[in-house]
Amino acid sequence: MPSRLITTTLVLSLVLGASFPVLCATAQFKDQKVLVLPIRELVHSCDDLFSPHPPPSGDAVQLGRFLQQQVTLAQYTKTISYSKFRSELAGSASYKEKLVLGRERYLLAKELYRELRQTEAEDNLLRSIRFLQQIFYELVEPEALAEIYLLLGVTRMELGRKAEAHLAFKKAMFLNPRLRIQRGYYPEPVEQALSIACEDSRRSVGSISFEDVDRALQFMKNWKLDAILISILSKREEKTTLFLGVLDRRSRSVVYRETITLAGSMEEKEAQISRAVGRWSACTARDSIQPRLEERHRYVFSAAYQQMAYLSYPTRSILNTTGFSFESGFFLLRNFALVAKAQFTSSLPDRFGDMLSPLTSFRLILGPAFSVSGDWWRLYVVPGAEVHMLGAFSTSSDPDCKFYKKDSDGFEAMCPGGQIKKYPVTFLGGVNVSLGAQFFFSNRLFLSTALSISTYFMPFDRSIEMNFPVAVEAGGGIAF
Amino acid sequence: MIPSKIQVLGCLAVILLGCSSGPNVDGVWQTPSSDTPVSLDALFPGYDGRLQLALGQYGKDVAGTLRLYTTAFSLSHQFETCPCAYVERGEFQGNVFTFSFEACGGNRFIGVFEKGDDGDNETLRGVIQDEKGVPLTEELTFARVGDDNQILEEELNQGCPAD
Repeated sequence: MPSRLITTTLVLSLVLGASFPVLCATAQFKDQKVLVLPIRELVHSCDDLFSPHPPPSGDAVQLGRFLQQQVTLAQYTKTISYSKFRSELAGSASYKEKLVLGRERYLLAKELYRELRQTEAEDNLLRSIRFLQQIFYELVEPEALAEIYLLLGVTRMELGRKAEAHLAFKKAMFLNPRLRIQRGYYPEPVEQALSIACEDSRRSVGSISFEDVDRALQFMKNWKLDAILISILSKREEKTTLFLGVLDRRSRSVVYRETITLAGSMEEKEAQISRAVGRWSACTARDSIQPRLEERHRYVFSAAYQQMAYLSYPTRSILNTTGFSFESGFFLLRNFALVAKAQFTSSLPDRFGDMLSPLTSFRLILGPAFSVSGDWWRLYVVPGAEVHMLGAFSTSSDPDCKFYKKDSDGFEAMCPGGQIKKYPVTFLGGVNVSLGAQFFFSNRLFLSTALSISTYFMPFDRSIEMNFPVAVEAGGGIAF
Repeated sequence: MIPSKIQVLGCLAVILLGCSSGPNVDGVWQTPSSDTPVSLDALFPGYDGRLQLALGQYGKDVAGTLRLYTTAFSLSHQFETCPCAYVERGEFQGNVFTFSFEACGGNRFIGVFEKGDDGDNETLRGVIQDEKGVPLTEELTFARVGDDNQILEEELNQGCPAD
């Protein structure tokens, strides 16, 4: 009868296991947090630099809005509204303090410049820029920062350092492409330098996209941005081109750089932008999201070394056994599985040597498992039904029955038959409760540990004196 | 022999579960073969020779045999009459080993020995008394000469041959 029970339960678990398909998890990726900066419009001709009229409004605003929309629609991408970002940036703790310091330095530099103390003026302008750079002022008030660079360029011109003045003018032109200079306000050489810087800024679109990558990366780290997309609208030989560049924080480099020539109607331009965004999105390396443990695995197999102690035992001291446990589990639901365990154990010598022969046993446990899991761990409890087959063994508390060799004169003389208690092969039935943990060190492999206790109800006559085995297990396994 | 990992784990677990072996009298113990033969005339009339204990300890319980030899510890030198007696009610507690044995003629004697150390060997020092506690011998000293393996190899766990 018990052997039929074991066979039936084993077959049942195998049939159940085979009838469910293997779980196939689809790949998931983490959202990338992208800041899309407004399109910088470098389309205005430098011939109009000294024009009294402001430059006409182009398509930049509309195209910028469309670009932002397209990036937002891209899969696994989360964009931040530039206006919201700008107000957050301006509202940050150190912003006001640094702004005041930067502005004060600028006003002081202006005073010094008026007093023809150019060297001191330059020094204060550079300090002002340093303060303002710390708060990424160019993203909040680029036009105001352009003014500072303009004065820096003029000061350097007057100090006779034309090359450095050129860089400052170029930066001013880049920060504020709509900059207009009143003709005659500055001396002729300054006007000439401004014109050259303007032309230069219009030509070197790609190279000025991320001037200081380290600073940009620091900025991204501070604001937990994964990428910054910058776009520059410019004109090349009467053709309008849009430069797109993406700086990626993880790879610490510009991961995407493309210049597209915009032509045709607004719809056609938008289509071109849409395709460019699609190309960027397709080529972007993304961090995959590891599915939760319970979503990853359906089958679990493990083997463990087991140490067991019977709390109720037929010897004078506690009876320990050692052996191996083999476990298989099949997840029917995320946190619910069917588990079957097969365990083989052999007794260790007891303290008084009362076990005259080692006890070997085999037990089968079948039950549901309820689990909770994290990214790399799983805890479970298995209340199960147990069938335990104990091999034949004998015990005695008489030292003479232990010392003398069986069938020897000494054994016959000193160990009368009644001093030895013999136990035939016995089947015990009861319940087992197991608490366990699995620690995954790779996607599929894990180390495991478990603690369990059983109680036996059968045989009902309590003819066997062994009960309440407590077991600890340590091992490992595979899940898939 | 290098123990396997499983054996090491098993031993660790056994130790953790509180099973450890303390001092014991397991093994083979003999009176010195070089010294003057022990006189046990009060126990075995005419006996003048050497004694050997082969003991197995289980908890505090001790079983084994007491054998008498003439000049050397070998079968060919066993005492002619009653060369062997069973250790009965043997106990090792508080470093003292006590047992009783029945000599030829049905007389029962009690051995009381304290476990010690003479620097080189573990020893059992004591006397054999009658049932009233009167010492019948001068102080005897047994030195450990072997363990369980020797008992098995020399088949000292066979008991005393039936007459």
